Amino acid sequence: MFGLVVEKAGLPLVCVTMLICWAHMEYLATVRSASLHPRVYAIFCQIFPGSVYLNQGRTYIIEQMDPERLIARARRVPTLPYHTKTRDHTAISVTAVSHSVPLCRTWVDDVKGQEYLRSFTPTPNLRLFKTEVVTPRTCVWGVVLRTLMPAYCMLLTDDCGYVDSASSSAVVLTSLPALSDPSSTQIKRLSGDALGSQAAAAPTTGPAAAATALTAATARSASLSSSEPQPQAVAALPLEFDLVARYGRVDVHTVVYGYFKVMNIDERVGLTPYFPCRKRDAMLC
Amino acid sequence: MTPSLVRLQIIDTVSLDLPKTHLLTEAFWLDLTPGIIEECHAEGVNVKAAVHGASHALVSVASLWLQCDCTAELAVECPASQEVVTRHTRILAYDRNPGGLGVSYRAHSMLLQLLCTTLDVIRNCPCDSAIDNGGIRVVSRSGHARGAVDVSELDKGCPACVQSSSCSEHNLVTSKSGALFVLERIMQHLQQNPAASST
Repeated sequence: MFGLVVEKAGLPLVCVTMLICWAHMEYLATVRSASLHPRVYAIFCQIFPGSVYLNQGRTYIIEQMDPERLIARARRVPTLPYHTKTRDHTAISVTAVSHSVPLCRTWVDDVKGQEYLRSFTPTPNLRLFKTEVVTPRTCVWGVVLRTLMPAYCMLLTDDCGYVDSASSSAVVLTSLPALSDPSSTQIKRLSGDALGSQAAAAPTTGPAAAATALTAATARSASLSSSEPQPQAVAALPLEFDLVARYGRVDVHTVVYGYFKVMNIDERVGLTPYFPCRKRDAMLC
Repeated sequence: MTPSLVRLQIIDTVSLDLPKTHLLTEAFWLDLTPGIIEECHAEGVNVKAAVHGASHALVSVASLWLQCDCTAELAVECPASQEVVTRHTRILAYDRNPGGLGVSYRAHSMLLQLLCTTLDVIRNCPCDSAIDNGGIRVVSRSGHARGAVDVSELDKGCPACVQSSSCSEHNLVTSKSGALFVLERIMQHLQQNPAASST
C-alpha cells in the first residue's frame, strides 16, 4: 500500500520543507502495490516522481515521495496531453531448483543447438565458454557440446550455484582439444561417436549428473588431447533436449530507471492532439 | 476488429534513480526446448509474445484448478515492447508474496492438466484474432531478431484468453496464435515422445 496525499485547499502550493509539506496534506487515495508485500515490489511502477496519476477522473502529478514512510505528495493539474510509462526491467534469476519433472524429450539438429546455446553464453554466472581466445572455436564447441550436453543443458536451464564449479572444470576441458591444433583455421568437428559414449550413459539432470558428466568429459578430453584426434566431417547429429517442468526459488529484481512521456495522437485530426476538456479543467483547478 | 486510429508517441524520456527492489519467492517454469523454438521460427511465430501470452493464459486457467485468484497471487515474466535483452524462453509464474504462498507449487504439481486446459481455452476463445479455421496465419516476423517486438493488433487476443489485467506491460507483447502454436507443439511432443527418466 502506498498513501497518496494532496495539498489542502487554500494552502500555498509551494512548501519550504518536506515536513511542512506533509502537514498541509490531506489524504487522497491508497495505491495498491502489485505485490502483497508493501515495500518490495513494483510500487515504483505506479508512483514515482513525475508520474501522472489519475484518481476519480482527476489528473495528478507526483511531486515527492517517501519510500520509507510509504507516502507520496501529489499535485492536481489540468488534463495533460501525455501520460507516463515507466522504463523498468524485471529480471528473474533462479536460485534453487526443488523439483524437476522431465515431461518429454525433443530433438534439434546440431547447428541449431549450438546457436541456441551460444545465445546464452553472456549470462554472468555461466562462464563455460569464456575461453574463446582458443582456436578453432568450432572445435571447442563440438567437443563441449558432445561431451557436456546432458550436464550443460541442466546447467543452462537451472542456473544454480554449482555452475561456478562446473565452469572451472569446463575451462580446462575446452582448452585441451583446442590447443591440440591451435594453428589450424579450418573448421573442425569431432565425431559424436568418439565422445558421447560416456556422456550418453550419464543421468540427465541434477547436480550429481553435472559432476558425473564433467568428470567423464574431462577424462575423455584428456585422452583425446594425448592421442591427437583427427578431425572428421560429421553429419548434423540431432541433439537431445528434455522438456522439463521445474519448481524452485527465484529472485525477482525490479528496477525503474526512468519513464516515458507518451502522447496519444489521433490520426483523424493530424499530429496535433485535441483536448476538449483542458480549458474546463484548468478553470476548475 | 478495425485498427485503432489513435497511436502513441514518446515525446520525452526522463531518467530516475530509484532503489532496486528484490522479491525472493517461489516459481514454477517450463523451458522451451530448441526444437520447439526452431519450429516457432520456421512458422513465423513471435516466440517472446507467444510465451508471454501462454503464461497469462496458464495463470488464468490455474484459478479454475487451485480455487484461488491466481491472477492476484501469481505473476509472470512480462517482456516490454522496447526491451532488447535476451530472456529465457520459458513459461514461468511466481508467487507475488515473498517466500511464496504455495500457489506455484500446487500449479507445478498439476502442470499437465493446466497445459491441456489452457490449450482448450485459447483454442475455443471466440475473440477476433489471426487464427483462421484452426490454422496459423503469420502476422509478424520482427520478433525473431533481438530487438523491439512488434505484434499485430489483430493477434493480441483478449482478456478471456492470452491477456491479463495484471500485466505490468499492458499486454503489448502478446500473441494468441503464437501461444496456441507453442502449446500445441508442447502437447504434440508430450503425446509423441515418452517421458524421460524422472528425478
